[in-house]
Amino acid sequence: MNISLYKPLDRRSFLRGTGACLALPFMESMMPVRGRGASPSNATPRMGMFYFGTGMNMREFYPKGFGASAKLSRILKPLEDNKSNLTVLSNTWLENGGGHDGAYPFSTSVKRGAKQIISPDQLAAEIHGKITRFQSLQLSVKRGTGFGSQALATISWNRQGVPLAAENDPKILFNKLFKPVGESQKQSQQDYFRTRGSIIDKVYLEAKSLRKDLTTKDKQQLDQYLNSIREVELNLEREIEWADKPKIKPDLKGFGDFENAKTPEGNGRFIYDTYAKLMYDLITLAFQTDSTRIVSYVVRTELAGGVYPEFGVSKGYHELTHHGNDPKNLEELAKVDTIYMDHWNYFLNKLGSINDGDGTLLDHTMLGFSSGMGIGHSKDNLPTVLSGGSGLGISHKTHIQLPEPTPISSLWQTMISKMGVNLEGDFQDSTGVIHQLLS
Amino acid sequence: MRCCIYYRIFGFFLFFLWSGSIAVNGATDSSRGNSVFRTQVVPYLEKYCYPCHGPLKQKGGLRFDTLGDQMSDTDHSSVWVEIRNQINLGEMPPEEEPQPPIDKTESVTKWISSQLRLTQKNQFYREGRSVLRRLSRDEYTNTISDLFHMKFPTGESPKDLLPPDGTFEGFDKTSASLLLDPSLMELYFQVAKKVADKAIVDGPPEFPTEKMRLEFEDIEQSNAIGYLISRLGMNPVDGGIELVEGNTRSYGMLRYPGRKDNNVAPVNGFYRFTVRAAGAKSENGELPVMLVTHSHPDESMERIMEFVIDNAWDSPKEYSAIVPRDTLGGEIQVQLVNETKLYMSQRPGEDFFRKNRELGKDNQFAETIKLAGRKIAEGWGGERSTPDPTKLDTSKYPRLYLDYIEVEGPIYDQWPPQSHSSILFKGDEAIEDLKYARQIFERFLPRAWRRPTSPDEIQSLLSLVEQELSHGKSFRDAIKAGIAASLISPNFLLISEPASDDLRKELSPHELASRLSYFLWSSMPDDHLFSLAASGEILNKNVLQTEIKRMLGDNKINRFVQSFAGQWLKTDTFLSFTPDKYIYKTYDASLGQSAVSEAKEYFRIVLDEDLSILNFIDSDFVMINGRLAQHYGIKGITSKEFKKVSLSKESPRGGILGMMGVHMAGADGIRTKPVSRAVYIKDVLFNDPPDPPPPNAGEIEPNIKGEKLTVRERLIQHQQIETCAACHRKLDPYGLALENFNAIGQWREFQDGENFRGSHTPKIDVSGKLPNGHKFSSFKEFKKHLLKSPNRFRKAMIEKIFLYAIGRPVEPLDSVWVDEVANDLPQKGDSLSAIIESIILSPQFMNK
Repeated sequence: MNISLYKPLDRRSFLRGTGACLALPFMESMMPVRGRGASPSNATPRMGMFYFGTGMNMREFYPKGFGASAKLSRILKPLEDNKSNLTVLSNTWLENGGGHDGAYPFSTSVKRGAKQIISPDQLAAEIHGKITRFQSLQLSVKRGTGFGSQALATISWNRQGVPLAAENDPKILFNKLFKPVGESQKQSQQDYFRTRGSIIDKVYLEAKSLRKDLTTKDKQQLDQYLNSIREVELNLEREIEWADKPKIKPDLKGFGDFENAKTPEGNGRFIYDTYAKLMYDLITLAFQTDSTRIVSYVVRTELAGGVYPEFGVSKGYHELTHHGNDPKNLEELAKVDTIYMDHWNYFLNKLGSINDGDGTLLDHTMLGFSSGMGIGHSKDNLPTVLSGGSGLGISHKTHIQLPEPTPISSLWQTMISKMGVNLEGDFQDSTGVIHQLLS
Repeated sequence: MRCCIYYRIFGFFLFFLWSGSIAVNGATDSSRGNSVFRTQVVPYLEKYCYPCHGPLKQKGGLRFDTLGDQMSDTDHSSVWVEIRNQINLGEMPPEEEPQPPIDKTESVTKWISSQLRLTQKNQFYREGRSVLRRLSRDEYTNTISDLFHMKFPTGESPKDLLPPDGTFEGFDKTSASLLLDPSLMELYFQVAKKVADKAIVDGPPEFPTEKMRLEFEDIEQSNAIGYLISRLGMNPVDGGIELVEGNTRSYGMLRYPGRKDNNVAPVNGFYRFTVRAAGAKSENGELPVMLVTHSHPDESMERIMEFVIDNAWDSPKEYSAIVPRDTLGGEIQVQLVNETKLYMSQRPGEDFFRKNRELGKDNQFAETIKLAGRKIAEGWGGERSTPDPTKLDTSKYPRLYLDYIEVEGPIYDQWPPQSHSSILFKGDEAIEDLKYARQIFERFLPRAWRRPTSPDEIQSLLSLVEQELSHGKSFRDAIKAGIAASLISPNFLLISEPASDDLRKELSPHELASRLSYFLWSSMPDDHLFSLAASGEILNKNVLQTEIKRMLGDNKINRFVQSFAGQWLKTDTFLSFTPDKYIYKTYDASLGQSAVSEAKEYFRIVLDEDLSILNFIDSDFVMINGRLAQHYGIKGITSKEFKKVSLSKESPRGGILGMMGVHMAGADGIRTKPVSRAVYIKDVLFNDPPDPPPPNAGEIEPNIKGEKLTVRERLIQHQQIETCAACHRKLDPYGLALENFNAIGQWREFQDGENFRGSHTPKIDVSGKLPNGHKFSSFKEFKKHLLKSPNRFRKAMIEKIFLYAIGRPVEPLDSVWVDEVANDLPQKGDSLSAIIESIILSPQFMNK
């Protein structure tokens, strides 16, 4: 079993000495610490993986021509300002994608129904999560995991192949990242840490004792519990470690109103435009403050949702993808895709407007997006784009045509190698890093 | 059932194996698979595939002759999937090579699919055992609520705090769907702490229960708002006001004492709203309908209560409801829903105009002059742009009399809450020491963990309590920590039935009690079940049967209805496509909600009245409310509540296939999707969902401009493609048989929807042939054919409930048992309760 020995006493004695232990200079604790073996510059690398469910109108997606002179397509037109900060990858595919099960293999190449494996963002989080307050963030337009349905709400999986639940409420996320702990709360927080530590000790032992009398299958299932408890334990250690370092107070000038954020579930006053920008603002703030370096975000789930009244189209996104060559459907599909790209441009601009070391935040952030299908439920022709990361050794060419059909895992491999993840042996079904993206 | 293809092929062998032992292992399964593999699959591959993917050549790096029939590892299974998809699509063998006959291809793809499914199942289940799992979100919420006698106001229920669960074969009841990740574990900590904090209190409530009342006659007296009374349609009357149209508000005169805002709710909780009212019918007998709402930033929180006011003007009475409220609400409105619009541009003013026009057309000018006279006399006009209030006789319209509105809250069932007094059972005067703490957990823990606990387990929790005390915590806070710990324990969160790999044995009495209560109540056992478990009597068959009856009769059975019926009938898919508002103008959100309720209410009545499950296929009644009656064209039903209504012989309604929600799920808001409907029937009624289409298969192409083909015509074109034919010829008739129901489930004789408007649209043709050769030409005939093989449906129903009850799907080895239960069912009235009882008394349920 993959559970390291737990030593409750260590933590408690650690707790008693908290004050002394954590007397790090304030400035130093604010400074992003560099991940190991990351990139040519001294910059802190960040990465994000983004899922746009149900494909796009690929007939109007790919730029015309290649390299810097490529002319952006209708859907990508909003990204004109960021042309030099992105590369559209033609000829990517997802072996187990196509149809509506594509969210499952998206980050792991493992088809729906089969045992999942750890996703690339989590591989990177295993390294960088040790340094930041939060190991990684899972965002989604839908809360939870959606596991079992086609409309999967997360693309992050842990080492056990368990999907990591995503959060869709900007306010909850904001408070988690930035809400300071008041002085009066400090004492109760200490109490809470202590109580929680003792509870973890208890239930851990209970689970161990329960484990003795179980069948092999039951044991495997119980290990999810044990692993989760262990993670909670690690999180608690992190929380204790971070408790005396104040959360960074972000400068919210130019960012949205998180306090009054609305979530997408069933509220008539929800406006997607506001929401989309809030979520991108939040990722920007999280990266800027080095609260985390790893984000995954299901921007649009498979099948359900994707279209909001303000878009002014006549059907749902899924209905539109069954375009049947009807020009009106294709037109509306492109219109919706363009709106999403508008928001993406907003995101890139935001990251690009923030100075980070010797460049901008965008220069030090790699953002990869694609879908589980292309158009017409295909498993190829995916809308794959890598944005940002110029300062990390990514060389952007606006549009490249990959000579061989290339699994999307190759893009993930390219990104995590820049994050300093050392891979031994093969990575998923990847054909290796995409050299055209490297300077 | 899912494995039915498998079973059809191997059923014969199974019969012999069953009599042996339960512990038939995977090797025997695959040896049976072997025979088909040897006799059909290998010869096929040899002939058509090996030349390029065999010992001599390995095109694309693929070699099939060394594959074997095992699919348990990903490498092998993905090759098999590729083979299936390629031959299914007709892309392999290549065009220039000899082509295999369709039926051979079909049997090979079927074999691959069934082997894959079997392999997949074996990854999760083995030897007819269900695997340890956590509580689902619903079960967690219900268990907390029953354990602590707690009710949760909006936003504070565990259900609001925990994320939704995954599903397996459509249900959230199996270990394969109920995964546990660290973020969920973090939430369990938070929720447990909240629950413990709520369960035990200190001192009196921060906000005591208060009564707030607004007398409507006070509105007239108010300087600020008295002018409103002069508004048309709102008149001061003795002791209150009369509403003919519009609404009245609380105008800031209704608030919790000491608060500056307009809110009646100082804290999240439950509040009783009471309006004393009376009504007057309109001249055609229509009763006034009163709606009370709250202005609130969240629309879903606006509605408070709605009543048909059926007591006479001179005998007002109180209309009351207890509803959850949070602190974000504002003004309260009381509104007459079926108001008479007292403007000239609206009825009844407009009625005069219309009548006048009609008379004018017929040259009946004398009549028009009389009408104009009457109009002025009745207060509707003359030179005025609004009715004349002095002349207007409002007695013809439905009217509402309002005396007062009162809000009482926050309501506490008792204080301290029941959770507090049952945990701290000795009351406030008790000596709060460790001895007492021990007694507290000796009472609490066996209920929370649903089994007897050992002294060591109690001691372990007590050491936590002790530790908290030693850190200066109060006795109550220390007890809270113990409670939180017991709720995060695997013994609370997980349903585990300790057992060994090689030996099957009976459930312990407590394990049985838990299985029972999570099956029928989605919650922990109640005191009675606990006492039967403690005495061991629950293992007695007669006692168990009595218990099943009692549990079916308990209110908590509603949780089974909501959860099982909702998941079985897939009610969450009913509204996934919003009907096009220009084509289907009569559709609105409340009709959609009624469609979801209809399915559950129908299931409820079949369960409650012990009706035959064959009613699900066809029945002579429906469960509808007024809104649905209108939609279905059934006269005389106006109530908001659902009622059992008899159908005429001609009616196409009745059963699942007559429900609008089912047809909406099988439509995309514009046109019907017969293939989806067929899949629904195959899955829901037969538990035999067809294989998914190969990747890249599109759906029916919508109408291309200038080429008005009906959905049926397009689908039949699709069937002409030989690779599609194999599946679609068998599948499509089930969906095409429902073509008489349009995208919102209305009956139609002629094509409507997408691109079909006006009077000359093609007539609907539903005719077809079922795979067994039965022909039909109408929806009625189709239903008759379905009823001709009732065992098929009986088995499906048994299998679905089985999965829900036991947390694993029916496996090949269970099929003999399923057959027996299905065969005995007619003698037991084909009732749901008979199926439930058979499942509970089965060895599969009683053993682990």
